Amino acid sequence: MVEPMSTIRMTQATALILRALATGYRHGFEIMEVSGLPSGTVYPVLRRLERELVAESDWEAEETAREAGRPRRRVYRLTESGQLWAERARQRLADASRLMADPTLGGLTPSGADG
Amino acid sequence: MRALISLWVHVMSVLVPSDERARWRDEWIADVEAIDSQGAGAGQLVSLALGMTWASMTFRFEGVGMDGWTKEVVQAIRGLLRRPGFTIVAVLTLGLGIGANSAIFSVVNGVILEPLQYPESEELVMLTSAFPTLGFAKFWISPPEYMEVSERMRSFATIGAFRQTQTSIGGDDRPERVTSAIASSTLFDALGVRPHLGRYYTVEEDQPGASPVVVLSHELWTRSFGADRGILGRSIEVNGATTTVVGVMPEGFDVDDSKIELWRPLGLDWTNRTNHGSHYLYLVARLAPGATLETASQELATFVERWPTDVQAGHITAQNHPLNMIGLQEEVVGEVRPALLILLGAVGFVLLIACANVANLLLARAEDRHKEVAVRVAMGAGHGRLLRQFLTEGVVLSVAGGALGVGLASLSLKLLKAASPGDLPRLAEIHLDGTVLLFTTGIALATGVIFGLAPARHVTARGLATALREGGTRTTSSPGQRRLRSLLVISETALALILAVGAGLMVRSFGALTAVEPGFEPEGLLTFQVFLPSSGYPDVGARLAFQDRILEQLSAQPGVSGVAAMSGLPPMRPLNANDTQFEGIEQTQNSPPQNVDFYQTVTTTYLETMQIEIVEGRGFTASDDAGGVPVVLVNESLARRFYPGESAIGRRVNPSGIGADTPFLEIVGVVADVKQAGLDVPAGTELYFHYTQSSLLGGVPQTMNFVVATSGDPTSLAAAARNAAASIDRSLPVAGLQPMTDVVGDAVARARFLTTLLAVFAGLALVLAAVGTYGVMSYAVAQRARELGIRMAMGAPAGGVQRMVLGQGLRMAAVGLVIGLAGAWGLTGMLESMLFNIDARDLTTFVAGPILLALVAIVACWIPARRATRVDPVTVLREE
Repeated sequence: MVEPMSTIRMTQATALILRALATGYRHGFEIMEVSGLPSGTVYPVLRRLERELVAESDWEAEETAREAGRPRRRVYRLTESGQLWAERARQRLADASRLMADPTLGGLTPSGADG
Repeated sequence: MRALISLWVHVMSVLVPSDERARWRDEWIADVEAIDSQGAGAGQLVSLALGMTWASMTFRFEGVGMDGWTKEVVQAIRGLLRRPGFTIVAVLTLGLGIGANSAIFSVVNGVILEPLQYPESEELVMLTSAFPTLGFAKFWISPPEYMEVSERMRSFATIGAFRQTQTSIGGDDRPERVTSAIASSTLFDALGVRPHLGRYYTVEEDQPGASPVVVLSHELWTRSFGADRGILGRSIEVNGATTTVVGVMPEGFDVDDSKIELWRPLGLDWTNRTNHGSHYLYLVARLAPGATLETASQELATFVERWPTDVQAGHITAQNHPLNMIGLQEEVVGEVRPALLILLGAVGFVLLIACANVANLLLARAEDRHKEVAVRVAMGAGHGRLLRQFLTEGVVLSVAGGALGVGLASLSLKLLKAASPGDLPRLAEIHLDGTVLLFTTGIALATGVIFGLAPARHVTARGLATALREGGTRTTSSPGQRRLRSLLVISETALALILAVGAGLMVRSFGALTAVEPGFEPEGLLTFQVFLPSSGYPDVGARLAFQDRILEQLSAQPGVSGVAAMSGLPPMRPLNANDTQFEGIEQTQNSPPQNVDFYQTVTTTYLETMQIEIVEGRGFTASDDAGGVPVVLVNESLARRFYPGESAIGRRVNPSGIGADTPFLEIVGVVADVKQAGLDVPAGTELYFHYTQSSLLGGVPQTMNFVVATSGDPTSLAAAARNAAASIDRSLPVAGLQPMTDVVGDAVARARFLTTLLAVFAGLALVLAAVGTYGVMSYAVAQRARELGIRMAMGAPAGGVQRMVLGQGLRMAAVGLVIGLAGAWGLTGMLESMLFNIDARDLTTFVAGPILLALVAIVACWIPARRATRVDPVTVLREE
């Protein structure tokens, strides 16, 4: 596996946002919705990802917005190195969910967490 | 809401470094639009905007380490402490604004926003009936109707039925009268709340003839039974009958905000479906899995539609007697929502005025520090760095104001709760919690950013360069700064006027409400209620004997000038709406329905004790007893409705309902209307019966309200009243012992509460607006001291200078008044439903409000104008 060029701090929020982008969510508000992260977290992370050339963004086509009768939206996508970072994020999140699912680690299974 | 949030995004995007500003602003506005169009709530949008604000702050402060931050904050605090006068005024102003907002928001949050305290409370609905032709929009449901709904409708998992009543508990030692519910066992299942102790009663215990059981509220259990866990299985006296306690409900458990303290089985006989006309139940149902409010409403509509063919009994039809459904939360809080939202809007205005004042102060301060700032810019401090400084100062101020605000809010909440009317629902659930603190933090931050940025925007690089060139000890404001300051004064004046007009309308409405004649003289009357249980007072004779004895005992007390008793206590009591047959009047499509709003059983001296006027005929006499001719009195409304243009005297009515073969009673008198359904609505029709003849109605009422008249203070008779009841029967609780003036006062409690709060907020707004105007004018005079000094040195008369300054201030105020009037004209329509006998565009208020504001503005401008004439030309010129 090729090491990504830049270094970013892979926080839980960053990982979630990378996964959201990799899954095809393209707008700030969509990412908030799918990740459950607040806007005060999502925008700064997006800005950082863009600065580190992990993601890039542009306005959607003027026409699309006019047809839908709404302001133009900002569209985000992963760069090539972003794809690699998204893969790292996936692993990281998978590790975390194994931790949650492992009954030997305190029984924090989803079904056991309702008490 | 979206427009507001977009405006906010525009304002706070100033924080974003200028090269990226447009991009983020447009992106956020597009995202706000996207989220809003998905149907997000106001709360969601606000938290979105706060997050965006946070994001723009992190962009601005990027690269500033913890050290830099700390330094910034320390510097801001030091700067504020150097000017204690400014800081105290700013923090106090903000604290007042934020505190008032937090307090009112706590009420709004606890009462309206938070879900009711039942599991999955959004699944709970309330069912009521209506009689549109009689004008009853919310009426009870009869047992057979309840049974049919329970058996035929699929949308509900469980349906409970209840009615509210008063119950006597305790025995000889400590009799007590408590508000209670007679409820089906299914009501507990529907509400889904587990008992705190024991259990609630079972379906078997909820049968006719089952041995009596009772469930206590937590409050009653604590108050009257010392929170004794051994209460379960023990017997207590309930309405004179030995009853087993089977459970205690958790704290705060209630239904439909009825303040229930005791729960007794309803004991309906499900095999008897004949009494369709006997409406006394409200239903609470839990939606079945998969059902929604909409689908259930549809099923209910179809059910009502098909009732005549499906049930073939009763009188449910879509036109004359439909069933209605409403979410339980809406039922509980729907009525008070507009009033609370108006209060929230009013405190919002107060906060805006507070912000305008602090922005003004900061602006003046920024200008005073002009030179210092200019030097710093020259030394290389970027514009961004200055922005950061202003912002930090603003946020530090607002955090201090917020802290003060939380303190003030928790204090004023205690006051609010104590002063609030008894009918404000969910009072116990109001508290300062996380949501409220979040709200407070949010508005504190927002205000800090608003007024922190306001001055910063005007400290532009060009202005700074000029400042350095001029190099004077005092700089003059730029046109932009003067405009901003005028704008602040104008908006303060406008907002304060809107509040003043709103409060003025409420005050005038309240005046009109308290001026309503209840139809009797409450002054000098003491009232109390006694309930006679069937066990001790099984028949007419025993009950009449008790009433005669207590009347006799009371009238023998020194200082008592009259005593009487009645079954229903005016001016606010539940509707009876009894079918009554009017002899000789044919029931047709166009004739009024033969139904009387209120039945009233009274003793002989009722009219004279209450000072109710006899309009025609006579009142009751002692000889109108069981042996005499059965007679009734009617009120004027009834006479007008059923005997228009003719005398009601000598006509006959039958209270036992249409087609009954019980005897008719002759009308012997017409009396003036007495308010029965509240002071703000028409009195309704009323029929009076003499207590000794009330067996004709099916028995003497078990609950009677007594009134004792005195020329002195009625409360001085309280002990005598208790003693009189106890000397006859120690087991009888005396309830509702209070002066009649308090009973009348309670009828306008909610209006008084709303009026007082609005008046307080308007007063606060006036003071803040006056302080703001004064501050701006003083500052303007100080800035123009040189000019004014020269003018006076050149021989300008003091009066002319004074007029000039005054004129300048009043021009701003006038613009504010015009805008405020327009705003008030547009907004007071929202008060319409809360006003009594006053038009929402009442001329007097719309004239008096601006005059008051103008007077305030004159005073606020006059003091600085006077100061302007005292400028000593020599001193000013020497300073140069």
